[in-house]
Amino acid sequence: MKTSDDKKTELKRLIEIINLLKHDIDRANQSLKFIRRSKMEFQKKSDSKNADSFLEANI
Amino acid sequence: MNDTVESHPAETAENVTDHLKDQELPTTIEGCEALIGQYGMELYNLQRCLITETYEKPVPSFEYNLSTSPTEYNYDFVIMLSYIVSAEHADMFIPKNIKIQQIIEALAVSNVTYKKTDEGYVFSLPDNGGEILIFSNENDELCGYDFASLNNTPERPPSIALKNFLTIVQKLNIYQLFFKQNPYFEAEKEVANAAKQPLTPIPVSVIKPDENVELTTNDILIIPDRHGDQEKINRLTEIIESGKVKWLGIEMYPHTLKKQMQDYVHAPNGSVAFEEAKKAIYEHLISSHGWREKFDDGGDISAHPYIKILDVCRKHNVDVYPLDTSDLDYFKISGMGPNLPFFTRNVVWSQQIPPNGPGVIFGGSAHFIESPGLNVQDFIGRRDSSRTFKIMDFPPHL
Repeated sequence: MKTSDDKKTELKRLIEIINLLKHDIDRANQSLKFIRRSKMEFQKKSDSKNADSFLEANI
Repeated sequence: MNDTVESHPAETAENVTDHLKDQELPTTIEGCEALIGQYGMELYNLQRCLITETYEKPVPSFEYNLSTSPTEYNYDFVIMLSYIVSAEHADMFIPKNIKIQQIIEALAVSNVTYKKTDEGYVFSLPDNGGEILIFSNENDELCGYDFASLNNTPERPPSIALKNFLTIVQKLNIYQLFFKQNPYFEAEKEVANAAKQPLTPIPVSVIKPDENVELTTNDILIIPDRHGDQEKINRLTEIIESGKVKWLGIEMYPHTLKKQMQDYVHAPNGSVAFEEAKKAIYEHLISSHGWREKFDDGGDISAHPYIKILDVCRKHNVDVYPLDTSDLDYFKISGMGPNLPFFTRNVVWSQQIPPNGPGVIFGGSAHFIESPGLNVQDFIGRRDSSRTFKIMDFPPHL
């Protein structure tokens, strides 16, 4: 059986995981917005004939 | 642009940070676990979007298939997660005990320079090839990296920095400094080689669950499980109690517990070996993220069906061979199959089987019926053509 202290420790550990996940989600979302913005800007700048593939143009 | 990206909540949520801030933290363990599940899925979807957007093609994601080549280092997955590496993910993909100094010295050969900042170490690739942010722990060891935040111009997106970085790593052959080694590389190669040949399944006789089972030394009886189904466990128990098998191969435990499993079954009551084996086996089941939850043991792990079946083997002096891959991360990557890691698990299972029997294998039905030619019995049969197989056919369907 889990003691009250065990439960508190477990709760604390889970809260830490939640905070890590929140951090990661936030960061992932920022990266996603950045990539989308970059692509839009790139496509505006590029000649339409050469801009059909962001992948080919950049890798 | 693909539909997944278009329909992602990030498109409609004005600010994800606010959305997270608004969420009150749970006050119970159950509430936390539920929220972790919700956030985990949200993060997973975001990661898929990130890669899709960057590469403009469907995410390789967890959909590894047979066209995927075996890799000694699973950097495809690191690439997927390279934008967001947290402590939770780091253990899955980043090798342990790599000193930042080792990285500095190795990369210096290719004129990669570095500077220490408050956030971590920033490595600059030559010829303005991009920058990598590498995080270190209190022992100055690698614990994460980020290709995105420092490479944020349209002319130099993260994908270019990543590609340049991988080119240097490949040229210097220093994968081991950044990526966790794939423990099942050789087994993956066995799958890939098998898949290149015509897929000829090994013959398997089908028997009814209520049929009287007669087994010879070369026979292997397969009981295909639907996880959590007590009927399958009951039939397995009857087979073991009948004294017709010498050994049991079981999916629910990793092959690295082989010694402990032998001790659990054969060591005397109260002996140190038995107690240590019991502790290791219980701990595995408790921490295995899913197996224990297949049945309700009422909080008493010793009453769990996956433990009780071991007790039956102990009582009847039947050897137990744990079959599955040891690396939980590899298990996660394998997903629901069929894909390369899934078939690789079939190879690993086949490697655990003793040279003679009769024996019984108990594991998920997909491992025996999903892909003729790449199922567990196919790999066993290719290694030893004298083995013969019977599979129990539970109605209405496996």
